[in-house]
Amino acid sequence: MEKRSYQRRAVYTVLKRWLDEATVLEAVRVFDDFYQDRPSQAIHEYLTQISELYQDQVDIKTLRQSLLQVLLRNTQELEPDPLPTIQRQQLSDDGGFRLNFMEPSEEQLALHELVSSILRKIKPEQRTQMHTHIAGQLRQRFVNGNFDKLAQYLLSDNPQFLASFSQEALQDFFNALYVAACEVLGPVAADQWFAGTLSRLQQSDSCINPEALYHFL
Amino acid sequence: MKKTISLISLLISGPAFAGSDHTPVDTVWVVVAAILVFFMQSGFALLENGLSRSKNAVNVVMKNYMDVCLGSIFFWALGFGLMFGINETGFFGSSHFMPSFDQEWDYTFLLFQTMFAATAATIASGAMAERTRYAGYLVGAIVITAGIYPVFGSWVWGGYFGGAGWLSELGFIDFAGSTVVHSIGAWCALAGIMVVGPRLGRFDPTTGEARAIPGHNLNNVALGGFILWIGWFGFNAGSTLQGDGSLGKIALNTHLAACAGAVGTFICQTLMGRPVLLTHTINGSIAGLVSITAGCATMDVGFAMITGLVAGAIVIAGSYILEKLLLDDVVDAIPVHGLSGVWGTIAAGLFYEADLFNWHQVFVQALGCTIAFLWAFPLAYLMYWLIDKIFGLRASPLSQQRGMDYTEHYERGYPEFDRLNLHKPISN
Repeated sequence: MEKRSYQRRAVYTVLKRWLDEATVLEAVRVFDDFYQDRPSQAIHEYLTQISELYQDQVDIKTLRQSLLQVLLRNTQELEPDPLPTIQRQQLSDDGGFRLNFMEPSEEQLALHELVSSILRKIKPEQRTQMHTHIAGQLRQRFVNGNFDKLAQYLLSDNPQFLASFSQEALQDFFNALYVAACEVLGPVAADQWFAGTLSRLQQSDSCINPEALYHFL
Repeated sequence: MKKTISLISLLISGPAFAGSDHTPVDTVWVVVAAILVFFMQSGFALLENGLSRSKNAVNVVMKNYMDVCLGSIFFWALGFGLMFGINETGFFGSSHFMPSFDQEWDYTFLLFQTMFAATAATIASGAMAERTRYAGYLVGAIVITAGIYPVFGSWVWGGYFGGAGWLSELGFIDFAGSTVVHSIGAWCALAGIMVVGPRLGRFDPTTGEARAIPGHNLNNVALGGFILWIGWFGFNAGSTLQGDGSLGKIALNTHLAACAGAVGTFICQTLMGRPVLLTHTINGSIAGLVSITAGCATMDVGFAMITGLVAGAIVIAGSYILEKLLLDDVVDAIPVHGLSGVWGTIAAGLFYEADLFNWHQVFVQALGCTIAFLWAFPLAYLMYWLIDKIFGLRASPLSQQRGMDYTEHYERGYPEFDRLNLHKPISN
């Protein structure tokens, strides 16, 4: 699941440099439907198809180079996973009705900023350990698909997955994340990470209001 | 009915024939000593506070504060009678519950012993800091001061109002309480940390390696160490219960053992090529103080220093062993009070002035230490286990995340200077 999300984000991030949002989403959807979970050769086939479709907009050589670099480097400096947007589009296309897809609130966006900044900065192996640790805890606390949503959130880094959760539930989620951070990074490092990130958010010109975070801490 | 009332009245008041030959100087000295022992509570509070993270600072102080308050009341109500009441069986006192005396000296004695009881209870607070619920901890402190400590105490020091404790009959020596006060407190602490578990993230879940969680204020730790040292003069020299010529030697032995404890830690760490931290040094001194407590009145000055020196090394080894066993003792109370207490009690037999290296005495001392462990540890374990099941002993992860100051007391130790602004601010 993590690998799929990472590849989707990589494709989305790289294509976004050349294509408009609607086209990128379409391209990612194609990637998801036909090229995910296939041998690495499939990436090359996919890129060939993209270059044929959008040859006037895409510098295929640079695109290929960028995508392979991103996929190999295993970086976290990627755009959030576009899956929720794609799913929303699919629902509205297929069912003929528009799902009232909730947008995350200011508090939820603030929480996302905090969680995301921390998860981006830790080492990949620590992130994997944290995911494993959090999964164990979340599975006990969240049922009826909420666990899947939070798991998707962690893998995709997309705040839209948080939108349907109550404040109490997200407080629980943050606490599970804190416990995992204590276990994996150590309690001192965990406190320093969280406090440092919060402090940066307070000092930055970001539109996120750090006080909104207090609902979850 | 009349018979029942007279029996109860006998149990409560008891015959007051003890301690009638004390002078006013004795009273003044023992009251001053009791005040010094009380002052040790502030030393414990500062030491434990400094070794905890800033988000738990108030909680640690509150525990120290309240265990004196509750411990004193329950010791007066129940503990004193169990420990010093008429001890016909040798196993516990059965009079002087909620006492009121005819002899004025007995009040002095009660005051001094109350401070001792509070000390025994407070040892657990440091070991269990930062993840133990306030209410659960206080219930534990009450049981220690009202039951666990006084019953063992009656075996060694019992019979003040008649009879004698069975361990004292065997010849067990513990002048001021290396075992009676400190080891008992430490074995309760050991049980407590086993039931409550380690702090979040204290041990790496994959390797089991201990992670350092530094305290927030080393100045408090140092000041706490100094205050404990000062208080210990009252603890040891006050145990003479009279203002006589032996006070100077007892105080000197106490002082030199503390110095030697710090030196022992220094030597041990240096030989192992490790840095000598302030916390180690202070714990080394306190270990020296604990170890000399049993034999401070019956030991030559040179042997007092050897006792302290060895205790300083024991602390380092004990701390290492606890970490290997994945036991999280925030202030190293178990090596300092438990292991050093055992060593000090054995040393009191080994270096007994009038009868050096008497192996029979050493055997009796070791037996007493073993009995202390077998009494206090299982009972305290059961008690904390029950508290955990009934009230809940371990603070929730959310509580540990926010800090016990906020979740247990709705107060913060450092509202203006707290750099960890992660935790939820408190509204009026």
